Amino acid sequence: MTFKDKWRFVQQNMKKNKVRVFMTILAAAMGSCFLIVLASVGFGLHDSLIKDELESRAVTKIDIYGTDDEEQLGFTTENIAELKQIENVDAVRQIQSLGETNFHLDGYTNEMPSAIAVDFENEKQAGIELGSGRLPEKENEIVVSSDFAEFLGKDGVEDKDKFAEDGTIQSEYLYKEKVLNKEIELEASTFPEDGSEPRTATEKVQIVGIEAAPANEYIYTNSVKTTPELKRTLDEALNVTDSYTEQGDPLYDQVEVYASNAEAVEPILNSLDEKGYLAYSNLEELKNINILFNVAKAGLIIVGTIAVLIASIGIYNTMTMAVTERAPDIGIMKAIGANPKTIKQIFLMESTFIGLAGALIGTAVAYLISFLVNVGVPLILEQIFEEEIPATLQLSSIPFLLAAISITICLIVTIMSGSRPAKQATNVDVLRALRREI
Amino acid sequence: MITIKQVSHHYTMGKKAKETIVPVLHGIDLHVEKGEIVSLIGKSGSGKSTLLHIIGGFIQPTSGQVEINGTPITGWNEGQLADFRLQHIGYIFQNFQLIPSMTAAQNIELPLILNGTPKQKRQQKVENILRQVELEAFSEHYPSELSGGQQQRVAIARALILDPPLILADEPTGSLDSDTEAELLTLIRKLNKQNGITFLIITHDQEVAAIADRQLEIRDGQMKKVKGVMPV
Repeated sequence: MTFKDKWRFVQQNMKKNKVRVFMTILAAAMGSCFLIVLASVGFGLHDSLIKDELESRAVTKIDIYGTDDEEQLGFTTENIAELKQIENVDAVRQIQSLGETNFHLDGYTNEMPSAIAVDFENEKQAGIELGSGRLPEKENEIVVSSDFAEFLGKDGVEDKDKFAEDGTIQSEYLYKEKVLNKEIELEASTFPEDGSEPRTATEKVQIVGIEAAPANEYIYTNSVKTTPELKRTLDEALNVTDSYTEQGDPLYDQVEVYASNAEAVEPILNSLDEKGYLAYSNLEELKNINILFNVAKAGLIIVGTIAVLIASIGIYNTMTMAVTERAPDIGIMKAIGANPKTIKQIFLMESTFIGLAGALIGTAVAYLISFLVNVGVPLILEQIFEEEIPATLQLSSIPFLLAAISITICLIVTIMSGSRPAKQATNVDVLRALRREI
Repeated sequence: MITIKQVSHHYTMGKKAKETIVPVLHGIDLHVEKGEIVSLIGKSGSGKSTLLHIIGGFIQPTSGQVEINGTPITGWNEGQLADFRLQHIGYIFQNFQLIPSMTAAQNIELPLILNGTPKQKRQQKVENILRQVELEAFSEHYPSELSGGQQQRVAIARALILDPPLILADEPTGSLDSDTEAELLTLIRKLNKQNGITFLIITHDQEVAAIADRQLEIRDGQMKKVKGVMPV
């Protein structure tokens, strides 16, 4: 018997009980849809987190926060040279902190931004992006973060009046003009450990560039980058010596290594470990996130499978009823020479069709629900909480893999639930069926 | 065509541990030649239907050997027997056993479908056989729209569609009136003469039994009486 003829039989059989077949397909579709929509939440949130991670910090960046030598307080130029020698290292970014700094401009002050001295050639290699202006070329030039001006508050105003509840400066006390190319006063302070009077040094610096805003609009950055020469000038003025070796070479507080690509991160981490550096990569965090979410997604798929299993009871019932109803026909077919295998295949095809149709319809509906959730839920949340929901937040995501997993689960479950009735069909006793005793 | 050697059969009735053995056939020997019409008569419960079902492969005998067309079929599994039945045996039942949701043509086509015959050839064969049983005008009728005689002719057409060398008929006229019965017997005779098909007919109707070359009777599970000329 050809496949086409078997399919014709299946169609004929299903036409006899359209409503029952439709309801069974509907149950399978609902089970499959539930599975996908449930798991899609795990996939969606995972995607959102990964996207966030990738946007907030480069995956190729490796932070080095120390060495095995506990007595060494910073990283020396020899350390930097050693790091640059490691295979697949694109750039090494060495950072010196300026300590406590305030920036004064026309009666406005930005208090204690993160002020660091960097080598701007390395910054270029590390991929610094400017929103406007240029990188410093002279000692007294600085680059500020895109939100620097948002932290310039009017002097002489009490904090309770100056700051809003969320910690931002009230608009009326904000510096309104553009800061690019403005000359600004840098005030650096040091608090000696011997308990002597704090010392302060000031320098006039020019804002020559403003960094591009981060991809994630919810990240506020208040930072200043300046030249190592300015750092040395300030340290000399403040009489600070612990930022330098005995030979007078700079000691760096923080070092970042940039790998040429994500695959190179792990070998570099291994190499750093061998050389005695304490390092951390964003990729490790991503790995942890992936493990956590993969477990969660597997859990959601298992819970969703229960719905498919419940739907399979319907398929089992439908097929058992079909076998019982068609027992006389099965008897006739067997009497004239239908092989039991053929009978089994016809019933298995029918249950497989029901499962496949249910899975496909369920998948299509799940995609629709996922779309509506992603569009509708943020709108509802915005209305309720009166807060803008991040554009990167994805509540539901259905990758092809999830759809394929769901269809496979649905098919396996339906074939299993249809196999027993199909076996019953092959066991129909010809003589009893012909006598209508079944 | 059919050779039966020392076939015995009993049914086991009742629940486990309280079973009763009901013997039906006792050491039956039978030989039916190719092209012969043999009728098997006997009272109800004599075992004639059991013997037919053993020959048809629906029941495995408790003991003994069955050969059809020179092939021993005893001990075969259900699948092997079904395949053998499809190719070698046509079956005609008392109450026609047509599938009610299929038209006359579809019922006749069924063995061809099971056999994997291509669609075009199927249509051609079905048209030919419908003409032979004079049912061309009723090809698209469902069994419920046909008379008893017409339904039995559809059943015969279905049994003949794969040109089997042997037809087993179980009370073929049992549900027909006398006129239709006469028509059917003429048709059986014609098919036997024209196509050389062997018929083994179970009946308790003497008129039906009379068309056979040989009449056999089963009484109490044994072949008791033989009438007619034994072909060599």
